[in-house]
Amino acid sequence: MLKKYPLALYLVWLIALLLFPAPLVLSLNLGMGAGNTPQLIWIDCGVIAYAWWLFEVFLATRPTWLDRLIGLPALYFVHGLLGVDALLIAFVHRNFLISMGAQIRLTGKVAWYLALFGIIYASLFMSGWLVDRLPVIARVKTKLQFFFKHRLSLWIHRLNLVAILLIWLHVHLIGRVNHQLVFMLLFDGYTVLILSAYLWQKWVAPTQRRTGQVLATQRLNERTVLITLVFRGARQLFQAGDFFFFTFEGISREAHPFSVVNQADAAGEQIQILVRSVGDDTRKLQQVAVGTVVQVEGPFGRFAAIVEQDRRPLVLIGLGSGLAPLLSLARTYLGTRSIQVIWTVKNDRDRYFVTDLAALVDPQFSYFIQNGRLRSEQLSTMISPEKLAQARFLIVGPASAVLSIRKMLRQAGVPRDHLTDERLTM
Amino acid sequence: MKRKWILILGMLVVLVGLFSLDLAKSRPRPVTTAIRSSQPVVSRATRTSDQASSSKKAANSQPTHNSERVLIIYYSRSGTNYPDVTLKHGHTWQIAQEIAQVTGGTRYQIQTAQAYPKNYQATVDQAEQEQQDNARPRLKGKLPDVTQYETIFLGYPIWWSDLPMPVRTLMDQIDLNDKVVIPFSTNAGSGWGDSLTTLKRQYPQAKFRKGFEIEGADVDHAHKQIRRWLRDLGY
Ligand SMILES: Cc1cc2nc3c(=O)[nH]c(=O)nc-3n(C[C@H](O)[C@H](O)[C@H](O)COP(=O)(O)OP(=O)(O)OC[C@H]3O[C@@H](n4cnc5c(N)ncnc54)[C@H](O)[C@@H]3O)c2cc1C
Ligand SMILES: Cc1cc2nc3c(=O)[nH]c(=O)nc-3n(C[C@H](O)[C@H](O)[C@H](O)COP(=O)(O)O)c2cc1C
Repeated sequence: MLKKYPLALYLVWLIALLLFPAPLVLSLNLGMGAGNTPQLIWIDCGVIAYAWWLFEVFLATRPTWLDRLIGLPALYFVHGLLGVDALLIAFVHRNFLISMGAQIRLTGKVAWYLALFGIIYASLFMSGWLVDRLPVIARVKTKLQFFFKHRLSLWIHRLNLVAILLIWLHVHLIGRVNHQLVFMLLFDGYTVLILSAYLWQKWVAPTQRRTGQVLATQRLNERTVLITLVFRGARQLFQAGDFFFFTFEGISREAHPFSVVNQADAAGEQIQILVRSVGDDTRKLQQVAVGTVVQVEGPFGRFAAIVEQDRRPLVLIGLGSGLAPLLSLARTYLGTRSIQVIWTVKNDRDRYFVTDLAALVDPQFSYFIQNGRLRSEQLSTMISPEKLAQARFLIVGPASAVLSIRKMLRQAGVPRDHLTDERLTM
Repeated sequence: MKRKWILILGMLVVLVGLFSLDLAKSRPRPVTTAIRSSQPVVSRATRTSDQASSSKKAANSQPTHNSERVLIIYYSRSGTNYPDVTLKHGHTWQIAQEIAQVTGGTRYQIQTAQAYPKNYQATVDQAEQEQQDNARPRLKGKLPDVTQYETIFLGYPIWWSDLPMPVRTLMDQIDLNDKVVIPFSTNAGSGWGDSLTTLKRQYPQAKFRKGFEIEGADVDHAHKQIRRWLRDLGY
């Protein structure tokens, strides 16, 4: 059972849930004396919620080393779930704890409602929890997205920082708490450290990022462009199938994730990405000029690490532009094991990688391209029973399609821990 | 590069600032706090010369010496109480009781014409409203005649960081200027809140002596503290 996720993920949960809040809770309880304050447990609930919120902010800085251990989706999943947990336990705190300071109550109340709003908003606009599973909500989101662009969403999401500052103030206002020296030192220390880490990521780190240039562009069709970037002097830029967050100067200040298409070892100074136009920034990128300066944050991703765990055959299922990282993987691991690529596209004009696939020649390599979705009865004819039982499946594409393919593969008997996916939304 | 140092420096400055704030706040708060009027601890008007000059022991051996002159006015709420206890008598009541035992003074309990709701949270909400409206809830029974007393112990729970409004009703109707006023109070963490300021504003001429403040939940274990406080006052 524990094998399902990397050990590091369990560790992250352990740290987030228990170890990180523990010093705060212990120092407060020792200071206030458990016997004398029967409501201490409700106070503790508030302290734990605050610690979880801080931990969430830390995760939001998406440290690359942590991504390598557990993967960015898992990292954001912990981030989101911690947010929900914190809100619940904060509810317990405010429901059972009686407080009489008008400002104490006000700051607590406003922070709680802000956090509630933040969670509802984020689960709609910033995570796939609802959108990927409920088509109705997906449609609502698409409608609203006309106004609530990803960039605006990020700013709305940052209201959570205001909530954190309010709670910080809230705690400083509570007479019986603010004279607990050890607790208060820890409390302020935690807050300052985490918020500094956040500021670091947003304000200092961008100045230290790797910078490159657009070397060449190639329009693959009216909505897709292949961009080659060069980072002079760089070595070992990435591993197969990784993605980076790219900021193109003059296009937008927002960093967008795109996957590498090229082979890891042969890449040298170059990163090749495929950009499909789905919104404002990706539309502008279709015409990006050669020479445009690019900053990258990353690399992120766990595909290479997962593939290299063992020598299983690979089945790579790409949905539309989701083929990009899989092509990088196929190119990198060609000849080392059996690789089967399955690529579904909308129509013939979207088969822009057909020559690239044909160029991969190896007795153990095969590929299959289809217009339109895969149907479940196709799987058993396309994929041999041994592969269904043995192979590692990597699926990349839009979230809802990825989810439905996962389901089909599970029904076809693929063990859950042979399935890895990447969804092109976050 | 520059940003890096700005951030590190900023972080250190903020940390140092906050840590010193925390240190300042953490200086142990005295359990009891005094407001002093311009007069020193013992005022002429209240003390007969023998009392004023007597040692603590002497005062202790004659506990009822001054008894006719001590009135203990207090407000206290029985029933559900903070935090989740049901009390036959409120926390403040218990202190009033103790003071009466030691000083032999007369007790007067403030009671509202209309009882507060049994439900704790409902009381809290109502009290908040009353405070916002600066209301004066009507009281039940006759007001105490304070003319025959020189020392008034005034006891109350902290409600919304201040005096409960029923106490304010009483305060509007009896004049404690020129009396010796000794406040005592229970709370759930606010300490005196703003209550001492309120008292002082209402009775600028009164002689306030060292009061006693404690968290309601600690009252049960406070015999010694209460006795010591009273002893220090000369009882
Ligand atoms: C791990 C990963 C790898 C990806 N790889 C590729 C790729 O190789 N090729 C490709 O064409 N697309 C890829 N995408 C999708 C691509 O990042 C988005 O299409 C792009 O960011 C949209 O930007 P926009 O401003 O044009 O659209 P918007 O109108 O801003 O948004 C359209 C949708 O894209 C999502 N999105 C927007 N900005 C971001 C962001 N900064 N981070 C995450 N999601 C965002 C939003 O959920 C939104 O629903 C990948 C996404 C992820 C998460
Ligand atoms: C309406 C109401 C408001 C209160 N407001 C405060 C407050 O602002 N600060 C505080 O520390 N305790 C507050 N408390 C708690 C009481 O001060 C505390 O429980 C006190 O010991 C009650 O005393 P009693 O039992 O004599 O009524 C409040 C209690 C009530 C019922």
